[in-house]
Amino acid sequence: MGVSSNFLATMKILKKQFEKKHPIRLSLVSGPTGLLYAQIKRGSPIDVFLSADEKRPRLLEADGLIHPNGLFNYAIGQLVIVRKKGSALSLDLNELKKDSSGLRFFAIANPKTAPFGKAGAEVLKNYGLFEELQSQGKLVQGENIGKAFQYVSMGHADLGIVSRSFVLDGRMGSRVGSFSEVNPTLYKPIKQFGVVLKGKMRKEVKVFLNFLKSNKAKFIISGMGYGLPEVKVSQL
Amino acid sequence: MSEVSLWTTLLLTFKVALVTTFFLILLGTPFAFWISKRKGNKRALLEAFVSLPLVLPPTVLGFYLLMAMGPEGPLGMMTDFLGIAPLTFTFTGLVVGSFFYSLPFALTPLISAFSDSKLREPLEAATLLGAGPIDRFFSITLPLCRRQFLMASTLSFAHTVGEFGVILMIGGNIPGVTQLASLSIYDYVETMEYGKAHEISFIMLILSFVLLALVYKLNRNWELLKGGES
Repeated sequence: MGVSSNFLATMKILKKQFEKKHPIRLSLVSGPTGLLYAQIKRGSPIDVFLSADEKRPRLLEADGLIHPNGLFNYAIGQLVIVRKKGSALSLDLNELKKDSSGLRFFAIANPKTAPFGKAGAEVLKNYGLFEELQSQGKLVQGENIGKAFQYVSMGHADLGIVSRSFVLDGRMGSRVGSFSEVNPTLYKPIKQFGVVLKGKMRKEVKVFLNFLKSNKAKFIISGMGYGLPEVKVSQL
Repeated sequence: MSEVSLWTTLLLTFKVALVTTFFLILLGTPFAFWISKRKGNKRALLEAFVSLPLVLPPTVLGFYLLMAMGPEGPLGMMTDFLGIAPLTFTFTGLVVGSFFYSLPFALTPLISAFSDSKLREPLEAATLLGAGPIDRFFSITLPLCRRQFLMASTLSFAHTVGEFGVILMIGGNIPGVTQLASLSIYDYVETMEYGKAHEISFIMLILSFVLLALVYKLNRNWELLKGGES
């Protein structure tokens, strides 16, 4: 299984639960979505690919590399604003818009390469902050969303927009000062799609897909900070 | 995305490489000289230490630098003590990172030059004639080792121009400030803008090739001047 970096922590929990119930062993390969996509195109032996976006799975579909109807939405990424420990800056970006003099660096993932970075940039644009921060040289970009989180948690950037899954992870969440949810209307939903690759719809894969649709899996996914495609969180 | 021109990115890349090379030679020369005078185990340990950046994956080196430059790291505490801004995401930070990244390329040729037994006789003669250590360095060591100095500078410069992993970690990809050529090429490739990636790669290749060719030509001329001595 190829798993996008942002979903790896969640996938590890899912894997544990899955392997408890079924005599099937999952082997996980993780990396940036773009890299996994490139590897799959070059024939890497992956059965299921959980992408961080919708684009790469659609591209694989267009390339005729996936199983018919093998495309599914498994989670929706959500954003939070995080603040480094010891910083007194407001988590309300309207405040930052009024006065950004106390800010040295604001971290997001690279909008060109990371789906969470693209969404983060959209949020900043909606607050009218993107151009401003960039022209002041205050906008720093991590190669992926994990790096953006690292910049804030290690104290290099004052604020950052990252995946909600990071702050809900107890071990990692404790490394930042505090966080606040970003209003989901401020960015296009980060629909994370998965695909079953061509010729790989085996019995084991079907068992896994059913597990991924189960309430148990959905509970884990939403508990890790992701939105769910069909079932609302409140119904669980 | 506010795009800076290709030339800004290239100029910045060469500027980082030039400043890094300058400091590597300036600080690396006395360090290499000191190492060349050590013997036995101590020498082996020092040389191994200098070569470490060759072994460490650049992203790992970058991660250590990121930790070192953070508020609790040694470099972070130093900048705090000096009352200057932390190094991450700055030009100075890139130079400091590149310094460690290219250290082996500057030091190895210099250590081997300073250890050459051919230097011993002229240096002893100069000492007998009453020349001080500084005088000896500038009138004997430097001219006799100029080829190794040229090699050390060229390799440091070229290695820094091609740097990627370290910059990716500590740079923050700020256009016009820390977005160097290698990062911008990577972005273009990732977004499948191959035309733009080719453009900047091609110019970087040509400029670097011309520069290296000039250096090797100079090196060859110096070799001929010495009358095929080595």
